[in-house]
Amino acid sequence: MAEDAESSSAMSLFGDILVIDLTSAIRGMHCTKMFGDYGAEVILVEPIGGSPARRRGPFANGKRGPETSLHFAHYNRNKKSLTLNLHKTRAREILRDLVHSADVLVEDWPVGALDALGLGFAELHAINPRLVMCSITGFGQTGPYAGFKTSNIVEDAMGGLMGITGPVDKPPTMTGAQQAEHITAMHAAFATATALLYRDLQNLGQHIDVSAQECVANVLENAIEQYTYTGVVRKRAGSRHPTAWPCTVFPCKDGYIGMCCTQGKEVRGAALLAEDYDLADDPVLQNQFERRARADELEPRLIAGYMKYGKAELFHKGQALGCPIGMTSDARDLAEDPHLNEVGFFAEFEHPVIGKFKDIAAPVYFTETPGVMRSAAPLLGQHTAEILHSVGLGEAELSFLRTDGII
Amino acid sequence: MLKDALAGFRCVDFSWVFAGPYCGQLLGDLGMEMIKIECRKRMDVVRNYPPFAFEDRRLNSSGYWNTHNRSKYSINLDMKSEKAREIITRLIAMSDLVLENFSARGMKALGFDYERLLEINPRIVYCSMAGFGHRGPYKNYVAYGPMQESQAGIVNLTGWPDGQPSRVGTSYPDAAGGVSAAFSIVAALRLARRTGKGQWIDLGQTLTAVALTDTAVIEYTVNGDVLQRNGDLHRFFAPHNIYPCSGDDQWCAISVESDSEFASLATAIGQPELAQDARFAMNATRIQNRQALDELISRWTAQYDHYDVMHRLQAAGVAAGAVLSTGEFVEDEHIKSRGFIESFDHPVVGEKLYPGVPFKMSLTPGYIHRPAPCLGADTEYILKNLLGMSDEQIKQLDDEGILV
Repeated sequence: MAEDAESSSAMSLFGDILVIDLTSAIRGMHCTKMFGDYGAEVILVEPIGGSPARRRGPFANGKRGPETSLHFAHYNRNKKSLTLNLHKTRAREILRDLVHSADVLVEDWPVGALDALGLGFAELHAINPRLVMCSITGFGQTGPYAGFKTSNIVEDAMGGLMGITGPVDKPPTMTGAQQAEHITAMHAAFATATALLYRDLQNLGQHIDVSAQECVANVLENAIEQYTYTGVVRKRAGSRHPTAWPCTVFPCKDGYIGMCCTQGKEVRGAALLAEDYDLADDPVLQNQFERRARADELEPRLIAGYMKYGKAELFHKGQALGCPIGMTSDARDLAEDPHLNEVGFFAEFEHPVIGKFKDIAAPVYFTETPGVMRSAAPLLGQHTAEILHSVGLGEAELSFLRTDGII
Repeated sequence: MLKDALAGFRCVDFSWVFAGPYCGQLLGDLGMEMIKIECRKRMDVVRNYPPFAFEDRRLNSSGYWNTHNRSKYSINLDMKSEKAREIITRLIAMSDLVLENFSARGMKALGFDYERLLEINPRIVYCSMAGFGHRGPYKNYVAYGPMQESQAGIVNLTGWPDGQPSRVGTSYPDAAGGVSAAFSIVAALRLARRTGKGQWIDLGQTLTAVALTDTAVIEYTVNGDVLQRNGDLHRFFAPHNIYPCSGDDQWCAISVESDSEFASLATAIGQPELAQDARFAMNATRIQNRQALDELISRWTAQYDHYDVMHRLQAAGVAAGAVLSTGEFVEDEHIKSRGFIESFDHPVVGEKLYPGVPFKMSLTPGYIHRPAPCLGADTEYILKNLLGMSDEQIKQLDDEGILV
């Protein structure tokens, strides 16, 4: 284990970092994944029966089982699995031993649950003052909602995002693909990486308290300021951007396109793409406020033009006209996209049960330390023996621990 | 005095609109010295974006700009002039980071592509945030957050199966790209401090957004399934929806992931027998009878205020959250007790409230260090204090029209 870490440290961002991963929701797992993708050794600590994430679908070929969850596989590649029943004293001692040599611990347990086991920040900090501990919850570690139960839709709602998302004639709409959890995970990763930098310089770790509700609210662009500056509470308004136009989703022959024009020449490109040459030359397009105010009247003209073509054709043709346009991609479009495939956005993984498959790799390209996909998600307890040997436990003790239901 | 996690790090910041500035906001709130290079001739468009503190939309009164550019300094430079480029070169030489979110052609046109940056400062960390990155067939495509969201597959998964897909109500890939950039930057700065080596972080905002499509890609490559949008429903759990509450357009989200949570919900809404009802006892049957169940729950929620529904259900151990308006969020007792919303004074707009830092670091908490600078507010400060220029030198630059 130590050798692996050293050999990879020369070429990866986090090759010197050991992360103990006590997470099982996307808001936690995606955070530790970001460290694993860039070289950290991540030890996922699972209960004996496996992480709850192993029980969540979708499953490979619809076959339910602890090793076939695609949800688990997606969020836990590059990680090692250690089973540990933390409700037993001996298991907690083992975790504390691991904390001695760890750099980071990330957890998404309910507020106070780790403290109750003697594994709170104060205890762990006493063992290893250099440890960075990151606690990710729906509402943070303090305040009247600290004990609230959470989920993606609850965070979308309480963070103010749901109230401004979706069509006017529908109820407030949840973000697709669990964005409240993802945006939380990324802020947690940023704060954790920052704390590691600070620790390197000051030789001291710290505790980070991440609130999903606040992370969601932090990305409302200008909606909160609309309230604090003008007193206006924004309502959901479909896909139309409140300021820029055309900046929305339009139907086309085989699906939808997304467009966002902010400058006159881009709007002209949008009109040319619709083959509406009168509109392209109309001076109204050159004023950002005037054209936005006439959106109702002008949009049908654009749509009439776009309905003649497919999304892929409009995408490439529109870009050639200088129009910021994208197609509304589905999973197939993404997996087969020439750009994504050419820049190494995907990687091939080989999993003993799921088999070979392609999935998203590390999305950001670093010229000196690109992300490295080392392994598919671990089998349950796959690395238990290896990890326990590394903290000095022998075969005999391991078999005791197994019999006692500790590992 | 509060400790700053990123004290002693300096950034030359060319970024504009939302993605780059959001990244800079996160770095600045944690103490990095952010020097925004601006120019009156080619202003950040967001300086002209609402909301405005005054009806005349006067300069420096945009809340959009002011929130994402707090904790930064602003220097006005006519970037097309040779003298301005010399000043920028000197700033880069004494900085740790260069941040920008132009198109892939932007920095070369300014004379500061990565090759040039390396000549100036071999330890520099350079983060670019072009829409599709600097490699690959779409590298020169123009891209802003709202359409990246479409291209990245998030729009297609948001909204209702019987209607058209929907944008998230914020320029989401900008924010996601911004925080992704901030993570990448501090990681690269850490490596640079350890090894003396900088590098180029080539971040494509569309790509960082595709990385947030949950299991969409792996479901397609393994199972051949193309994931579809599903409104507020969860394909694996029920009940999972938002429910009407008393009052106009008031809602509460409720999500139940286990049978025991459902039993708690049933009791909380005064119908404990539902937990034994064959239609609802198990998750699989609840999914089948979702509509009937949602109607039963709605009849209960409709009697109460959305906060009331949330508190009653959370007290029973059920995940529930009121759909908060921005106003309710700002005034919310929990948000207030966390101190998330910060107040600060600004020379033009006065005292206003802003979202602060969405996490708390025990040693280096992060906070709004200074109000967003008025255009060019720190020009003199930077030229004098960082570059050691005299009043005469600065006046001469000003007379030559460099500091516009």
